[in-house]
Order: sequence, then C-alpha cells, then structure tokens
Amino acid sequence: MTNSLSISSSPHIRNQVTTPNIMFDVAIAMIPASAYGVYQFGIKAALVLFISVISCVLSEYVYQSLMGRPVTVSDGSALVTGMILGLNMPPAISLWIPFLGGVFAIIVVKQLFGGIGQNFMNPALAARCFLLISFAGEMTTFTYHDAVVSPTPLAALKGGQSVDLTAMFIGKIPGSMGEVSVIALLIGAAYMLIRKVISIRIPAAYLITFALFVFIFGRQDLSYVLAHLCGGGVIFGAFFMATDYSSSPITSKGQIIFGIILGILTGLFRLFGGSAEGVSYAIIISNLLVPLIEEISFPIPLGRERR
Amino acid sequence: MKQGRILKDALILFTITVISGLILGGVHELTKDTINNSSISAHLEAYKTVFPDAVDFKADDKLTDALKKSNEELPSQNYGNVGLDQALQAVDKSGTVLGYVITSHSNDSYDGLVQILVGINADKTMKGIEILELNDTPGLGQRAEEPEFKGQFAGKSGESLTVTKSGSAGAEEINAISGATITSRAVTNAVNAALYLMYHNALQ
Amino acid sequence: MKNQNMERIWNGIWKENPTFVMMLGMCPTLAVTTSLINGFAMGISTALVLIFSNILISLLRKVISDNIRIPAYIVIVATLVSTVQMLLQAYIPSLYTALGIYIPLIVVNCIILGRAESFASKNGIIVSAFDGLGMGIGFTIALTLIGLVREILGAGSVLGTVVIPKEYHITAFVLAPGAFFALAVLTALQNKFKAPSATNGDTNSCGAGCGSCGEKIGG
Repeated sequence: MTNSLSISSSPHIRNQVTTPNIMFDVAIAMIPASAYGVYQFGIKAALVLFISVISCVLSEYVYQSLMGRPVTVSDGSALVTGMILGLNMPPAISLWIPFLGGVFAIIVVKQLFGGIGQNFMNPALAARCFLLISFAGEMTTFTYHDAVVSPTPLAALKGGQSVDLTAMFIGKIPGSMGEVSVIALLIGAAYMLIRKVISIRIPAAYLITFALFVFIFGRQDLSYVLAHLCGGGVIFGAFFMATDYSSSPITSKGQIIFGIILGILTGLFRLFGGSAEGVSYAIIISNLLVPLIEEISFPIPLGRERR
Repeated sequence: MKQGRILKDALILFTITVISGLILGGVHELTKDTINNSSISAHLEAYKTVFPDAVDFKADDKLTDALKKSNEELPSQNYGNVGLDQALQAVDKSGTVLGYVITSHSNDSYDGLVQILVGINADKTMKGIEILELNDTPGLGQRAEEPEFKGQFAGKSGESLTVTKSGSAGAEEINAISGATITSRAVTNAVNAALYLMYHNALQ
Repeated sequence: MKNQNMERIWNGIWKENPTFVMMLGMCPTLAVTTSLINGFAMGISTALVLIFSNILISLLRKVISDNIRIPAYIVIVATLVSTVQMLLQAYIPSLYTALGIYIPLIVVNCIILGRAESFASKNGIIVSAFDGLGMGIGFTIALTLIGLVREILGAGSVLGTVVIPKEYHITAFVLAPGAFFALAVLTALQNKFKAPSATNGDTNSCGAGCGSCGEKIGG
C-alpha cells in the first residue's frame, strides 16, 4: 500500500516498455540462434555462452558493489551483452577468453563510461574486437564437425572459392556460434520486430546498402551477393548489435543514415580490407559517429529554422 | 635604435646556429666510422644467418645485371609489388661460390614494406630467409619473424612458392601465419622475386 | 640553496610529474612504451637532452631576447637531440633501431620546450640543471612503469624474459590501444590516491601559471 502513495515527478504515464522488458525480449530473440549453435557445435558451445553471460553479470555486480552504486544486474542488460558476446565467439575457444571479454565489455566499455545508456559503443562488440586483436589465432580458428579446422564461407569467398548457399542459410557451416544459422537469426529478428523492440530502419538500411555495395563493387552476381549477406555476422549484426539502444541514433532519419554508413563500411572492409569479415569493426566505428549523426538529423520543431 | 636591436638579435641567432652546426659536424665526424662499421657488421651478421658456411659475400657484375633485368620483368609476374635490392655471391675460404644472398622486398605487407634476405644454394634450393624490415602488428604479422614461419623456407625448392591456409603445406607451399595471411603472402612473394632472379636470369 | 635543488628533483618526480600530472609528452609516452627497456631508454634519452637544454638555455637567458627565443631554443634542442641520436646509433645500435623515429621527435617533445620556457629561461644554471634532472627522472619513471605494465600484459615478459605462457598474452597491450589503457589506469590510480594531477583540478599543477600552456598542447 505504501508504494502507491509514493511521490514522483512527471511523466506519470506507465506502460510495459521498461528496460528489463526490452532486454528480456532481446534475450528471448537470441534463443533460436543460441539453441542452434549448441545443437551444431555441442556442449562446448553452451559452456562458452554460459561463461560469457556469467562473466558479464558478475562483472557488473562486483563493479557496482565495489563502487557503491545501485546494482542494476536485474535489468537484464548485462545478460544481453553476455549473450551477444558468447554468440560472437568461435565455439572451440579457450574458456578464459570469453570470461576476459565479459569483464572488458562490462567494466571498461560500459561501467567506466557511466553504466547502462552511457556506453559510447556496443560493449559486446568492443570486447570482441579487443579479443580479436589480442588473440587473433584463437579468435579466428573455426572448427566444424569433430574439431576439424576449416575456413569460414567468407574466407573461402575471399579466396575465390565457391560456397554452398543452402548450407549457409540453415547454418551447416563453420563460424562463430551465433552467426552461422541465418534462419534461426531471422526468427529471432521477426520476434523483436513484432514485439516492437527494434525498428526495421537500421537493419533494412544496413542490409540494402550492403547488398548494393557488394553488387556494385564486388561481383554482379545474385548468388555472390546472397553469400555475402548470409555469411559472417551481417544478419546478426544488423538486427541484434547495430540496434543497441544506447549506441545507435534516436532519430528516425539518423537511424537510416546510420544503417547506410554501416553498409558502406562493412562492404569496404569485406571487399577491400585485409580480413574476410568486417561487421564488428563497421559497427563500433559507426557507434562513434552516432553523436554526429544525431546532430545533423535532429528534427526541427515546427516554425523554427535550422541553426 | 629598433634596427639595431633586430641586427643584434639576428647576430645572436646566427652565432647560436653556427656553433650548433660546428658541434653537430664534430659529433658526426667522431661517430661516422663507428656507425659505418656497426652497420656493415650488422649486415654481415645477417648474411651469415642465412648462409652460415660462407666466409665472405661479394658483388658480381653479371649478377647485378641479372638483378636489373629481373627488376624490369618482375612487375609482369604475378607476385604483386615486389623488387630486388641487392644480390651477392656467398663464397667459402677458397673462393668457390656456394650460393647467393639476395635482398628483396614486397610492398604488399599489412603495413606496407617487408624487406628480407634470401639465401639460395648454387643448386637453387633455399638455404633460409631472414626478415630485415617488417613493421606489422605484434602477435600477428610480426610473427613472421618467428622460426615457426620463416624456418619453413629452408630446404624448399621450386620456381615459385605459394601460401596455403590448410596448415599442411606441400612441397612448394608455405603455411600461412594464422590471422596474418597478407604478411605471409608478402614475405613469400618477396622470396619468389629472389627465386625469379635465380631461375630466369642468373643461373640458366 | 641545496634544499632548492632537492625540491626541484622531488617536484619533477612527484608534484609535477610530466606524464602523470602535467600530461605532457604524450606522443612518446604512448608510442614507445611497448616494453620496459624501450620506455626506460626513451626516458633517459629525453632526460639527457632536458638537462643539457635547461643548462644551455639558462646560461644564455640574458643573451637571447624574447623575440628570438623560440627559434633559438629549437636550434639548441635540435642540436642536442641530433647529438644523442648519433651517439646512440654509433654505440647502442640495437636501442637506436628500437626507438627509431621517436629519437628525432624528442625535439618537439613539449616537456623540453615547456621547461625551457617556463623554468630555465627565468632561473639560474644549477637550479635549472636540477629541474631538468628531476623532470627527466619523473618522465623516465613514468615511461618505465607504463612499459612494464604493457610488457607484462602484452608480451608476457619482464625485460625480455618470458614469465607468462604465450597463449595468455593480451596482444592489444603492445598495440596503440594498450598504451591508452595502461596510461588511463595508472592515472586513475593516481587520482584515487589524491596525488596532485592536472585532472584533479585542485592544484595549479603546471607551476608556470596558465600563460605557458599554449606550448604544451599537442605533444
């Protein structure tokens, strides 16, 4: 009863859109991809995912307790960061690497900049890039079927070999555990779109720009473009990572500009860069441009003129 | 009065500059020989690492001509942006030519230039390579300097080598450094440039 | 008199440490500290130049008028740096290769011009020499510390001796980002223990008044 008598400042509207609700929807949306990863790569993949999540949640709890700040573990954001990080890992990785990644994501990228909503880039992706430059060998060794090391479809594509599109769509390929199955990712994406957790603007602008870029500067061949869309982390990145609330623009026009920049950068990195994949770097670089994008895309109130 | 001050300032600055110049000249004279000697001995040491049995390394006019010719032909080969810098004969005590030490480079590495020394026996098999200059990412491309990668070249024969990512290199193949295929390829192509000199212009 | 000299050394090491307190000379601080020995060597080279430039500039402070002071200082510092460079190349070639481009860049290290401008040009020879010595030691300690942290984490070694197995090396620490991480953490610790710092905002930390800060940006 005493709760209903609390006094607070406006706004007083209440609805279901709270941080925990959004975060748990995102987590639910990642279940198909996670389940497929565990099904394909076995119990080791589940362990990698579990360690990432535990590490993120624990880091947040320990840091906030030590710093005497309110502990916000229950809002689910650390859980989501942990899941994204885990899904970005090669399944055969040594277990202490995702643990270190979780600590880096939460403490360095998120908490040091002020916690949820204040991080200037996607914590999970920044951690992935940190791990990628630190442990290049482990982070790029992908196994498939009985620990045989094999190149990802993207690496094969870069080397000029042909790839099996159907296998890529279903996910019967080597790769990071979360990015292999396009169909599982799309199911999760559809769930988030229906629940209105994310808007279609960023993913659509991203994927269309990227496809066009590959078509124009790569090969004028539909199956080549499709292979680029299904291979690597583009789908995962477009729906789950680029749409991160605190590191993407809030204006609708800004979101479209953001998506276009992402598409161009990913295309540039993949076609003209040194390594086969470029989604993570494209997203964290675009994260840094968000304040600028918001600056130029902020809507003008009726009757005002642009400065 | 004002003009006098400018003159005075200029004169002071001039004096400082002259004295500085003199000091620099003196230090240069003092250290010139030591610097030269240490760079020569550093070179000799590097030559010895790729060709331990040789006692001396000599320039040869025919070899230098062959090098110039190869440099003109290399751009049309499929080795990317490579070139040859120097070719020396490796001779033993009696003056017999044991093989060759070739300095070559590629500009296609991750950070641009990679310069290497290649030792090749007179029978065209590889003696070994040494990295002279490479400014790649530590832990990735820079691992080309580890014996695990550069040791692969010793004993190889064949006109040109290719890089494989399979991890099990064949006779004319080199295992790529994982995560640093570009560097592996640049080093291998610089080796190929040296092999080209041997096969096409120097040792027909 | 003696106390004043000791005070200058303490000042350079702790109160106005050029790296942690004044945030000067960030370019060599971030770039060359990939290992303990590199950081140490860079610190010592800079310290040498700093001591002699402070002595020379203090000696010539009555001769050099305000109008020509900057070109005169630059010529003096550049001469000293070139001398150090040639001596290194001749007698310690391995160090010369490791420090590479950063030796000539000592010329534009803002610590040197900063001290010339704010201290040596106004004070006597001996106290200026001690000021240079103190600042040099402070800079060397800071660079050695950063180099130590980065070498342990990034290459798993101390002074080239490997102490951590290869698969646990966090390569990012020997790359540019690691320099920022290491510096940030060391500075944060310093803030935590309330040591004087430019970022604490409670001290007039550069000791030279705010007019001298123009030269310090961009080092």
